[in-house]
Amino acid sequence: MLAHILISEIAMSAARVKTYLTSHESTPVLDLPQLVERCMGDLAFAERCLTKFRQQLNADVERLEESVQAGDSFEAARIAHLIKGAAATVAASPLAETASAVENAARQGYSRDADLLTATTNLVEEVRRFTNAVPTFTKNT
Amino acid sequence: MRVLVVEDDWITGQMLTHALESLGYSVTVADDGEEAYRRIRSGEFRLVVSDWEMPGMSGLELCRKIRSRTSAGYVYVILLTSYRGVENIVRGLDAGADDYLTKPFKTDELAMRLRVGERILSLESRDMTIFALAKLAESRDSETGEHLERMREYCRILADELSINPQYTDVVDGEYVAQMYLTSPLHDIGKVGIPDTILLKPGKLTEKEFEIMKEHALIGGRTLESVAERHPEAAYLQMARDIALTHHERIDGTGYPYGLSGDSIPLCGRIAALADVYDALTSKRVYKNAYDHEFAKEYILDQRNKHFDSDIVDAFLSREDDFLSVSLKFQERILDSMTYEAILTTA
Repeated sequence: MLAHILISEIAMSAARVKTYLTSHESTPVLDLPQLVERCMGDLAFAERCLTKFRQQLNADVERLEESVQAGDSFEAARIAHLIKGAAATVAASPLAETASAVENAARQGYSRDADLLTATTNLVEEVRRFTNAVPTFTKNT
Repeated sequence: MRVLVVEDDWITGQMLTHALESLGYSVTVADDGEEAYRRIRSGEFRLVVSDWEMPGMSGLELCRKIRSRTSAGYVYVILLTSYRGVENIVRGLDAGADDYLTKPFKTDELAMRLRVGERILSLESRDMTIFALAKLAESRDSETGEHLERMREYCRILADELSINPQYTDVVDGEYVAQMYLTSPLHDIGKVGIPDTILLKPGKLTEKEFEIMKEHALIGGRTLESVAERHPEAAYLQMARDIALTHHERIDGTGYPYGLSGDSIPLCGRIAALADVYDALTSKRVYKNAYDHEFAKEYILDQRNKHFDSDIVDAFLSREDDFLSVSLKFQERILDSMTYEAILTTA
């Protein structure tokens, strides 16, 4: 597969890939081979998608926090669902999972407010971890 | 081939587009269900990949809307969803989706699902080719109007009614009904082998001429047999052959070409016989005017166990109203085109 050849090329520059794949915690923020495969091996396209995703992510998380504070669990569920879908598409599984937890908590309605807050905090933390790790890839490719 | 992607998330929409374009498709993205429905209505798209959950019209609602309208061509819909589990699959299929793709999509699965869709759509092209062939064969005989269109509707109604008769449920299923609709227009295809002087003769045929006319059943049956032999996997060709060969046989053994009787006449031939006679009676031909429904009904009842199989006569009686509405629908269409021509002439 072309994607795998390209990925091994990246792997040659081990240092930057390592920075990219693993942040300060040990779980990779995204599965690069999976993303590149989904982009049909087109690295430049993968990079554009990540850049756009990050911009969209920041705006979405801001709106999510607002709706959680306003107690609008319906809107919170909708935004969390969007983040989950987009994150899964760019192969950012940990992010998709934390967004999914927010969506589930929000769908429970007001009675589970504490869960929703915890899930949102976890998501914000994962977003920070993601945005800290990804620029390395964006700058160097 | 053109594909319509319906996706409210920009990133997923872009990545699907990129992957589909790499696979050779030409892609358009609609942000929501309403826009997608507008584009589908324009007839440009027959292959749709749609997200399930979207603001406004959801993927499920879009499916239902597509299926609720009659259109010239089938629209194949693949639902893209993060929902898993049998229950959701059933909900999607129930709404009219053809297939599923789970999110996040995998490119090889995407390619495979799209190929299946293309294959299904190409089958529809096959159906249209068959009908075009039948129309071509019929075109020499301009007096028959929309005989084939009506005939296949009558065949479908009769087969559909038999499918709920316990005696026939093992044989007549949805597939049988669909095949009956597909192949019945080929019943007279052997008429291409009958000379114009006989086929288009306005008066009554002499005995000798009628013997030649009768050969159309054999010519059609043998032509289709030779194709069916080469493609034994295509069951519809066998049904087409049986219908062409036996639609003039009579249950009492007095029909042609072989004088078969009772169950030795294939069921599809027995169904086509009644549908063909009903239409011949209720429409105008070179040699006769159109009789009304009551006259045709009386004739069919009189011919129970003579010309026609009694079970098929019963099916006809149960669905009499449907026969009448098909007959009236096509009459209106003919009237419309006559009015149109009259306007053109006076203008």
